[in-house]
Amino acid sequence: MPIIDVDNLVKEFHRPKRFDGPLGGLRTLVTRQMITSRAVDGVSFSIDEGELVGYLGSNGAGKSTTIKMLSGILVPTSGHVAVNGLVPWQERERNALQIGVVFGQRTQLWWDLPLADSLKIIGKLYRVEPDRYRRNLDQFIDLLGLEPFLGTPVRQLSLGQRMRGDLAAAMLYEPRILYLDEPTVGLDVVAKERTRQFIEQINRETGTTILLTTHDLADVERLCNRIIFIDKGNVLYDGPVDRLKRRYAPYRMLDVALAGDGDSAGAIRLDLPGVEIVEQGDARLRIQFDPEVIAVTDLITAVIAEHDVSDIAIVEPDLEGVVRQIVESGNTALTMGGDRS
Amino acid sequence: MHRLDAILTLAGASLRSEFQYRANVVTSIVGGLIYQLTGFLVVFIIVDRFTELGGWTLPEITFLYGMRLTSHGIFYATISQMFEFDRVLINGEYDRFLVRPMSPLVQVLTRKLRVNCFGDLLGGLILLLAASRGVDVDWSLAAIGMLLAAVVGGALVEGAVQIALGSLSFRYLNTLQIRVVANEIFNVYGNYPFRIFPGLLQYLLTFALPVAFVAYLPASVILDETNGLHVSTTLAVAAPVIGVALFMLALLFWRRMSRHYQSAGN
Amino acid sequence: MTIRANLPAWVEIAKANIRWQYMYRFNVLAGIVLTGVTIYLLTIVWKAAFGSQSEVDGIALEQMLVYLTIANLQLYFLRPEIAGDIQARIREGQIGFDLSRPASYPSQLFASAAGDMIGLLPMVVVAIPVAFVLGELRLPATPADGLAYVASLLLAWVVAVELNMLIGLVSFWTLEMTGFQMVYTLVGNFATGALIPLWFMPDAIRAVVQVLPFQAIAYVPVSIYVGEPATGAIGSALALQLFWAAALVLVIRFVWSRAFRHTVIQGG
Repeated sequence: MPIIDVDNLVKEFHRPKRFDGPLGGLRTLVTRQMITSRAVDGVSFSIDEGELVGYLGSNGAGKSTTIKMLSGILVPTSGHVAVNGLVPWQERERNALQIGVVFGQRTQLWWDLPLADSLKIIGKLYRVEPDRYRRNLDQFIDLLGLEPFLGTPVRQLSLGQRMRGDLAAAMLYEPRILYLDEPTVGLDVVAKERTRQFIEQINRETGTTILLTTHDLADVERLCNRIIFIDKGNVLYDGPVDRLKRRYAPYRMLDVALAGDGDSAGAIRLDLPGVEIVEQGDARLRIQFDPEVIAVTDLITAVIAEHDVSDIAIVEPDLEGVVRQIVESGNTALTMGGDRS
Repeated sequence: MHRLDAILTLAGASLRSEFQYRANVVTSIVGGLIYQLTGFLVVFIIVDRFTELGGWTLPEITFLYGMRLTSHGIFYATISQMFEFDRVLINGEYDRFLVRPMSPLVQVLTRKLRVNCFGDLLGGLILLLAASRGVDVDWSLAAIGMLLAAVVGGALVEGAVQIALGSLSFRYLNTLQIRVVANEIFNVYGNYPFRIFPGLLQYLLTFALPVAFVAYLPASVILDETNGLHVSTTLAVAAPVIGVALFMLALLFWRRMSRHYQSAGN
Repeated sequence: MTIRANLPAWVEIAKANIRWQYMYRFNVLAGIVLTGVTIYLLTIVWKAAFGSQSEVDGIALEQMLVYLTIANLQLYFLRPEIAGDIQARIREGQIGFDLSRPASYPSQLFASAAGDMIGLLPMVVVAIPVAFVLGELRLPATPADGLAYVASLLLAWVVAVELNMLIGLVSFWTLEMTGFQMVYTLVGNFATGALIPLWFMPDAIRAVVQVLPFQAIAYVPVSIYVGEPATGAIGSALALQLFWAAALVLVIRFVWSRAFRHTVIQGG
C-alpha cells in the first residue's frame, strides 16, 4: 500500500480582480469579480514507503501547490490525497506529526535564539519524549556536525549551517515522510554535498519517504531513482531517471583531447554513421553519437586510429538538458510516460 | 495539557528572543510608559483645569484611563502580533504554522513579543493605583473581582476586534490600516466618560465598535456612575462576559475566514 | 555654487518621494481618518470642558476649536518620515549609496522630506472637508493673519523636518530606538501644542514647553491663525520660529559631522 496516494488532484486559485486608477484599491476591495487560475490540473501519483522521489518542473508548474496540499497548507479544489491514510487538510494536526517539511528559502528556526533552543522548542511542539529527544538530537548533532554552532543565534549562522539546523529540526521527531522544497538553493558546493549526503543517509538508514523538489538537477541525479515531472499542472513523466534520459536524450558525447599542437584540429573529419562532431577547437573535440547505432568501442577505435589522442571521456547526458528539451518541445503526448507497475 | 505547554514554550521563545536585545527592552518599556503617561497628561491637564468632565472627577477619569490602559497592556502583550498578520501571510510564515501540530493562530500570536506592552501595563497599573484611593469606592472583594474581570474582559474585547478584522486578510491581504484605525479609536475614545459624546456616537461606540465594553461600562459600575447610562446597568455589569463572548465569536470568524487562505505563491 | 550643482539631484530625490506617497495611498488615507478621529474627539472633549462657558481665560470656545482643528490638520501634513527612512537605510546597509552621492546627506534628506510633503498636498482635497465636518473651520480674522500664517507654516515645516532628522541621525549610533521614537512621537506631539495649546498648560509644563523647539511646529503658526499670536505679536512669533529653524541647522551640522565619523555600515 503506497504511503502517499494522490488521485486526480486539482487546485484552482480565485483572486479578486484588481482595478487600477483612482479608487482602484477600493474597487478591488469590494469587487465580486474573480480571476480563476488552475495551478494543479489533475495530478495523480503514488509513492511507496521508503522511496526518494524528485518532484520536478519549472517555476509555476504546480510543484509547490502540490506539496502544500500534501502537507495540509492548502485545500484542493477536487481530487483526493491520502498521506499514510490521513487526508492532510482534514486532519492537519495529526498529519503534521508524521511529516517533516523543509522550505529551502525560509528557515523554521527562531532567528534570535541559539540553534539548540530552536531544536528544543521543536521537540516540545512535536511531543517528543525526553529520552527519545536526547537520542535523536545526539544522532543529528553527529550526522550533521552541528556541535560547533549549537550555541550560536540562528541569525548568525551561514546559509549552509542554517540548512543543517533546519534538516535536524524537520527530522527530530522522526516523521515518516519528509518534504524538501529546494533544500540546496543558495548553498555552496560543500554545503550542497553535505546536505545531499544527509538526505541520502536518512532515506537509507531510517527508511523515511522523501519527496524532493529542486531546481538543481544534480540533486536529483545524485539522490533520486524516480522522478515525477510536471508542467502546467500536469504530470509529464513519472518513472526512473535513466529511462527518462534514454527516451529523451538518446545521444552520448565523447570528449577527445588531442595531443600535439592544435593545428591538426582543422582537418578532423569522421565519416561514421550516427556520429557528429558538435564542437571543435583548441585541440579538443566533442563528438555526439548514438549508442544504438554505433558502439562506443568502435567509435573510440576509429578516433584513435586517425589521431593522436591524449585523453578521452564519455559524457552522459545531463538531466538539465533533458528537462529543457521536454519543456521546450511541450510534448504532452509524453504524458504518463512512466508505466510504473 | 500538551496544548498549554506548547503555548508556554512558544511564548517563552518570543520573550527570550526579545531579551537578546537588552538595551531595546529597557528603552521600549520606558518609552512605552512615557508614551502612555504623556497621553494621560492631556486628559489630566484638561480635567485639572476644568475640575470635571461629563460629571466625572479627576480621580474617576484617572481610574477609567488606568483600567483601559491596563486592558490595553494585556491585549498588547498577547494579541499585538495581529498587527503583523498581513506580513505573516505575505512572507509565507503562515505556511510554516500550518505544518505544525498546533493552532496557527496561537503561533501567529506568539511569534514575537512587543516589549513596550510592559510599559502600557505599568502605566495602567500606576494610574489605577493612584486613582483607587481618590475614588469613592468601597474596595470589597466583589469590587476587586469586578475590576479584575473587567480588565481581562476589556483585553478580550480589543483582542476580538483585532482578530476579527485581521481575519479579513485571508481574503484581502492588506487590511492593516483598518486595524490601525480601529485600534486608535479604542485608544482615544475609550478613555472618556461617554456622557460627553453625542448620543449617536455613544451607541456606535457600544454596538458598532464595542469600545464602551473595554473600560467605560465596567468603570461606571465600579464607580457607581450608572445613572443616566446610555445602556442598561445589566449590560454594563455583563461587560466581562461580553468580552468572552466577542472573543469566541472572533475565533469562529477567524476559522471561517481561514478557509480562504490561498498561500502566497513564491 | 553647490546649490546650483545639487539642485537636479534634490529635485530627483523629491520626485521619487512624491511617487512613494502614491504607492502608499492606503496609509495616506488611513492617516486622514486617524486625523479626523483625533480632531473629532478633541472637539467633543473641549466642548464638554468649556461646558456652558463661552470663553475661558480670554479664549472663546470657537477659537479653541478652530485652533485644535487647524493644528491637527496641519500636523498631518507636517509629519516627516525621514527618521524611519534613515534607520531603514542603515539597517539594510544602503546608507553607503546615500553617503557616496555628491550632495550632502542632510540636504538629500531635506529634499526627500520636501517630496513627501508635496506628494501629500493633493490630500488637502480630502483632509479639509473631513476637518470641516468633524471639527471647526473658519478663515483667519484678517488677510494679514492669513499671510502671516502661511509664512509661519513654512517655517513650521522646516523645524519639523529638522527635528525629525535629528532623531533619525541617532540611528547612526544605535538602531535600537523603538522606545526612543515612541517617546519622540508623543512627547513631540504634546509639546507642539496640537493637543493642548500652551495657554491652557499648567505653568510648570508651559515653562518647559516654551524653551523647546516643538512649539514652532503647531502652537506658533496656529495661534497666529486664530489671532492670538504666541509672543503677543506676529513679528516676534515668526522671529521665534526663525530662531529655531536656524539654531537647528547648526545642531544638525554638528551632529551630522559626528555621525559621519561614526558611520559603521551594517551588513554588506
